[in-house]
This record gives sequence, C-alpha cells and structure tokens, in this order.
Amino acid sequence: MKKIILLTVVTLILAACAGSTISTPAASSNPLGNNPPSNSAGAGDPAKIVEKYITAKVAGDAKTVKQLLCSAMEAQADQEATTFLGTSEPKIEGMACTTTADDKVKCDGKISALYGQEKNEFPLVTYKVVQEDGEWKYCGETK
Amino acid sequence: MWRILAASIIGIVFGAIAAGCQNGNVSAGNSAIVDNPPTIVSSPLPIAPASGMVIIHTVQRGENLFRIARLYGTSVEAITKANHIADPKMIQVGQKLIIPPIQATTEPEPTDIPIPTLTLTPTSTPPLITLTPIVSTTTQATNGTPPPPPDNVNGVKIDTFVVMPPAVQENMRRIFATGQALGRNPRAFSKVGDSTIENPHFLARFDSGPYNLADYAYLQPVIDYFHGSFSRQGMAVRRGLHSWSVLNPAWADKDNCEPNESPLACEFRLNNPSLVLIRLGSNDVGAPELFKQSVQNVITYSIESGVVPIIGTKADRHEGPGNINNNILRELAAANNLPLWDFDLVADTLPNHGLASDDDTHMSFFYAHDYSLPEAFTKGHAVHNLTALIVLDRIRKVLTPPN
Repeated sequence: MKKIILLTVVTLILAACAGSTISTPAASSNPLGNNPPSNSAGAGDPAKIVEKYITAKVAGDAKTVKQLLCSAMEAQADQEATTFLGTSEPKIEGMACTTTADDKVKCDGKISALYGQEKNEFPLVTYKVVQEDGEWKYCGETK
Repeated sequence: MWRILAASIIGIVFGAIAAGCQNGNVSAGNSAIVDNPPTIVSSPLPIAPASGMVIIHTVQRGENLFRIARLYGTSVEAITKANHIADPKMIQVGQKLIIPPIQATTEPEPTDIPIPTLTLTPTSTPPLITLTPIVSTTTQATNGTPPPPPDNVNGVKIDTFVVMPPAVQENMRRIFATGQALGRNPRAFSKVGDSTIENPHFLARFDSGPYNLADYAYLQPVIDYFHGSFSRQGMAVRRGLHSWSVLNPAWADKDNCEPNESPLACEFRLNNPSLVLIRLGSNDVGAPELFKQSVQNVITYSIESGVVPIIGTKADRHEGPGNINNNILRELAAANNLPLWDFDLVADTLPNHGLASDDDTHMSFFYAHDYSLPEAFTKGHAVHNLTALIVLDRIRKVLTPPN
C-alpha cells in the first residue's frame, strides 16, 4: 500500500514537472521597434538557443531574432519576426527542445494564436542549428 | 411494409455501390461523358437538347422518368427506347440515361416515385456521342438560336469587374508559357486566402454538384476544364492567414509540407497549378505598407514559379474605412499587369455588401448554387463564386483559346 502511494506521488511529481505553459506577451503591432535589451547568444546549448529563438519569434522580438538567426537566413529576418503579427495572444505551449544530432534540435509542443475567434495552432518541429563565430545559431526547419 | 422497407434499404445500398463505381468525373447532379460534359441538374425550365445533340443524365434520388423527360423536353417513351428500358419504373439512382432530342412530353406525371431497384438495363450499351455544351436554359429565340450569355452580374458589366486589358493578357500569356515550360498543369488552379474562402463555401460545389448555372450555363466548360481544383482548399488557404504569412514556413501544414517550405511553395509543389486565385487582405489590419509589400512578394514568387496570379478584391472592410486593402490590390494588379477580379464592385450590389448579417468579414451563404433563383444574386458567397467562374472563363479563353 505504501509503495503504491509512494509510486503515485512520484508519478504526480514527474507529471507536474514535464512540460509547462509559457505565456508570452502579445505580438507588438510594430514588431520592428520597442525591443528588449539584447543578450549574448553564447556557445551554450543548441536546444536552449532554439527555445530562445522561438520565444523571441512569438514575441515579435526582431532584435533577438536577428541575433540568433544564421547568416543563411538573414534575408528572412523580418519575415521571421512578423510571423505572428496581427494575431492575438500567441502562446507557446509545452515547449521542450532537445539536441538530437550535431546540427539538429527537436522540439515538442506548439504555438497557439488567435485571430478574432479563429484559433490557429503551429506544432513545433525539428530545427537546424549551425555554429557561426563560435556561437550557435537557429537556421530553419529540418527533417 | 417491411418488404418495402427492405427493398428500399437494398436499393439504397446498391445505388450507393453503383454511384461509387461511376467514372471519377461523374458526381451527384452531373451528366458526364468523355468530352466536355455539360452539367444538367433538376431545373424548373426544360432544357431542350439541340438538334444532333445527345445528353447523358445521371439519375438522382427522387427522380422518375417523367420528371427527367420533362426536364429535357422529351418523352418517357423516347428515353426508355434509347436506353432499352423494359419497365419505366425500373431505374436506379446513379444510372446514366441517354436523353435523345425529341419533343416535350404531354404524359401525366405518375403519382408514385420509384424506389431505387436492383435491376439495371439496357441489354446493350448505346454509343456515346460527343456533346456541345448547352449555352443557356432560358427561353430560346424563335429562330432556335440560344440567347447570348449575360454580360453582367447584378448590372455590373463583366468587363468592369474582370479587368484584363491587352497588356495584362500579353503578360498572362508570358507567365503561362513559362509555367508550361516548367511543366505546370494548365487545368489546375490554386487558392491563396483566409477563412473567407475556406471550404465548403468557395467554389467547392462546382466539383461536387449539384448546382444550376441557369443563364450562365455557358460557364460549364470552365467547370469541366478545371475539374478537381474547385473543391481543393490547398495548402495556402488558412484561417487567420495574413499576406505576410503566405511565404512563411511557420504557417505551412507540417503534415503535408516539407521543412522550410512556405504554404505557397507547398501548394505549388503539390498541386502544380498554372493559375492562382489570390484573396487576401481581410486579416491584414493596420499595416498597409506591409500588406502591399507582402502581396507583391506573393505575386513575384508566383510569377517566378510560372503561375499566373489573379488578384481578387474582397467584400469586407475589416481593416477599417477607406477600402485601403482593396485599393492596394487594384494598384498591384495594374502595376504588375495582372488580371484583376474586382469582386468588391459586385459586392456593392448586395445586401450588407454581401456579408453575413452578424459578421463584418465573412460573406452570406447560399450553398444551393442555383442561379435560377433570385436569392442567389443577393448572397455574397453565391455571387463571389459566380464571378470567380467568370474570371476563370475569361482567363482560360485568353490562355487556351478554342481551336
């Protein structure tokens, strides 16, 4: 009986820790302005870089998007930053990213956004990362 | 009673099987043949086949030979004879009947409606004859020639809402030729847009039927030509889609699209169209310059892909007063020498500008698609779809003129 209770408690604790809902500020009507102070990307964990990128993209944080974007995707920087422009309450739900290969990060979870009463969901997928000048950069989607 | 019920169930099952065995180009409400099948649906007006013309009719639920004969101005006797039908009551839902060109019937309508049966005659297969489409279902002139098709919708001249001056036509041909060299399908078009053109409201009915084009029956060939594209929503139609999302891979359907593939690129890859109907702007609020640049990007991408963009204006003013987004669309069509489908001008003739009474963005419904009814010309989606057909017809005649 005690073992069952203990197992149940452990399971509940693990379940509570697995995944979380992160609410982000709504996309700005002017996503190319009013950006928060930039942070250095650092060499760090590619998975964390991707999570930071996705968070910036959802928030419409153009400066951070450009900072974390690889040079091959520089031309898409503005497009990336305006991905959720015009939607309301874009949220990241259950994001959990893990590095699966030298240049890949797989993310679980999704982004949800509203337009009026219309809800859209955008599942997170696998992303490519590259090192440029000793720092990890987000470089688009991959298989 | 139980026998009747059992026979009904059996008949319905076999009718469904027979319908499923039909040629893929035949669907409920359509008469089909190998070449250019006209679409004939139940109509209050008789549709008299012209001399030398043979029509194929697909039996619908609730029809009997008398009603079918009356529909075409022929007789039950003529139909049974042409199809070697021994018992006029023994017809089956989904059965194809040859309708020969014979005078209208004076036979009284039977009081009973036949239950779909298991029996299918004729004993031999009559030869199928290539048809020419029926031009109009309205009263014919006394000399037997059909009246000219309407040159307007709700009083708005077609030449006003389908803008294709010579320079546009020349540019269309150029883009189309590029597309053909790339292997684009001349009989496929794609759609780009938001919830205002989601299925089933935008054009889908022209693939599935039933519908009645009435005075616009001359549009049947364009329905046949682009069959399969009308009901395809595609990868570039999505609720909440903005003009700046069309080329953004984040908005692509991850189940069908490749990594880093935008909705439009994905749609072009999967559908391989030669034309694309662009209906954007309802969600593009408060950012006119971004809207203009984004639509231009969509246009450029389409042209470089060998796909002719068709710019469509919208009925709503969701972005605010001043009709800003429609004016931008008109400007872009002119600047890029592209065909303009100015639906907004026709929407002007509709109650509430064609919008649903409780909605300032989405159009009023008329799913019946029966253009013999006055109601059809008061509903946003109905008129929207009709004008889209007209645009496609005009474009098709420029790009693939009849021999």
